[in-house]
Amino acid sequence: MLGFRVPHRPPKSIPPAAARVSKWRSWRVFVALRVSSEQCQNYTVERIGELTLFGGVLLRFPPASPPGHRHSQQNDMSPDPGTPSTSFFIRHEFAIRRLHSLTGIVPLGAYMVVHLTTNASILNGTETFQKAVYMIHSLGALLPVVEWGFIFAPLLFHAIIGIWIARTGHSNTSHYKYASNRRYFWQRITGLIAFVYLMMHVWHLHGWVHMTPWVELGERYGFAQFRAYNAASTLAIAMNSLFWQAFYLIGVWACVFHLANGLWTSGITWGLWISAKAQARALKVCTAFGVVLLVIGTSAWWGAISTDPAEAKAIEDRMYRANVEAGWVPLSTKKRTQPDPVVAQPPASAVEPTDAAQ
Amino acid sequence: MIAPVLSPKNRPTHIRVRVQRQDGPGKEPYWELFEIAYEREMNVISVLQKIAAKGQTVDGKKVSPVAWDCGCLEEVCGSCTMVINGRVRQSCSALVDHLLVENPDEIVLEPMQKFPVIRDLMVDRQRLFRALQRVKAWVPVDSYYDLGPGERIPRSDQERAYPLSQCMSCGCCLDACPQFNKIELQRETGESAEQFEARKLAAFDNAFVGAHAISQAMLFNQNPTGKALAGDRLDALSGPGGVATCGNAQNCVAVCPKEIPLTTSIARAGRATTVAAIKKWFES
Repeated sequence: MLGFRVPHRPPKSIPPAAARVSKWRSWRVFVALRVSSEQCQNYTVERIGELTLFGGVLLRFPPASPPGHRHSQQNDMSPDPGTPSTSFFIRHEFAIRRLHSLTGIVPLGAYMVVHLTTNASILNGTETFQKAVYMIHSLGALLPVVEWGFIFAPLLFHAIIGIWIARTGHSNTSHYKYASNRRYFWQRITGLIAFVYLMMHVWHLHGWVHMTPWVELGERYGFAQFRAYNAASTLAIAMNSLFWQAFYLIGVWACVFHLANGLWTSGITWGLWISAKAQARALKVCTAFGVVLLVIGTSAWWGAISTDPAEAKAIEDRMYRANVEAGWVPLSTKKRTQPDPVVAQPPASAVEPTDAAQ
Repeated sequence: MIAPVLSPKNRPTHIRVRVQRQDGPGKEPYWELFEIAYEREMNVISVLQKIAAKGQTVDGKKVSPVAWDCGCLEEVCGSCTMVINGRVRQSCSALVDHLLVENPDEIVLEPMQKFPVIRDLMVDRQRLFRALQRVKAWVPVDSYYDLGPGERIPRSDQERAYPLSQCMSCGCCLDACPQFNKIELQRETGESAEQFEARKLAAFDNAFVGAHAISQAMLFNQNPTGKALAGDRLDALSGPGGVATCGNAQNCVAVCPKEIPLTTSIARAGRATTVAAIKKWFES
């Protein structure tokens, strides 16, 4: 291919007005096209008789058929790349994918480490855990801003883009049984598990949004169970069912794998570890990190289900009374299990409940 | 590669070969089973020649010979690449005695999974070569004048470049890649050949460029003359379907017949595009 002239780079052309106007509409159309999958005629994807990662949420197992019928043809959902409706996402694919990688580490990965470690502190006793929760809740009115800005918003972004990424791939682990290929597959599976798990987990304990009618609705069906000033006891009560115990264990393990493996792949994505040797070394480090986090996460899980709610509640009431007396926290109804014995006999110096931060 | 000598006890008298056939682009594929006499030290090419000579399936049905592509017969042209026993590789260097150790019952031949089938085991790898154009995988020298000797290339750079230069554009890395999906377009009624070609190239250009092209971009970006186009190559790699589409399954490096460090190239491209993006953000 020698002998090509160095082409002149054309000046950046101004997009036609129609393209600029339809920026937001184009996003919607794009999503719709992705979802409407098989009508799109343009791409034909051959599927081999194996577990196929398709549609992110949908895991299809093509029906087993004799080799003579293995070649089943289905259409990919990729939209016609020529239409302007797809241009927003396609033009920014690199930035979106890099932002997806970044949000996975900071803030989400970093937050997960802190979160699991804080939760594991329950093993040291109700006091330790409750003290940590008091510290977090000392953010007061800023807490929802931090929650949404640094946790929920990045989580939703990471999850939605992650589903899109999972949809772009077609796993072939049955043909190519390499460890890295299996990790590729499990990265997507654990991502989907983590997505379902985290949506439910936040709804189960936190409630997503702290508007009174919304929280009351959740409470009625056994959601929005966590009370910050009764941290250990409300957690232990909420975890007092075999379903939730299994759900949390699988969820936490999936999250840990997803983070540890994601850390390793992000190192390649960003160009941190380059050579095969460096990647192998990094894999060992990430595995060690994953194992440590797995122990921490499982400890947190065990701590939550092994705590006795009645015992914990007595300690929490004592701590709350002292805190209220010291003026560190206001009297609160929303962050306390009702009926509240401390409210019945409030300390003399109690500040009137403001619940401003709730 | 030296074929293992099967002991006379394990040597079969006949081999069965199952071939996935397809009569033309877009046609429904079907399977046919052939049986040929065993000979020592055959490769898949010679198996296909024997099938063509026999001209009938195991049931005695007369069929047209299986179509396949081949060129050099020494694993440097890449044209005879196909899926053999479920794994993509060259049929010239796939030795029957090895394959029988893998699967003593039969040899299964399929066309490459990620490229449109032209006929039987022949595929159209246009997208593979288009990807090389996308990343400008060449050295830009075009002049009638003597430009003098080129820059000296240090030994360490030569050693880094040589493995990458061994790429023969066979497409194994793409066929095994879970992020590289088949694109097969049909010409619509009333569409001119030029319009169809343009639509096809537009589809190729938004889809994943593939490990081979990323690696070639890294090869030419380190060449003293090739560097002139480094910015263009990084632009292509940070565009749609660029290096960010890689999912790090790392099948590419595992199946590469030339053992090219493709994942190292991908990581290098990841770093180069990161740096380029930061530079762009702050400088321009």
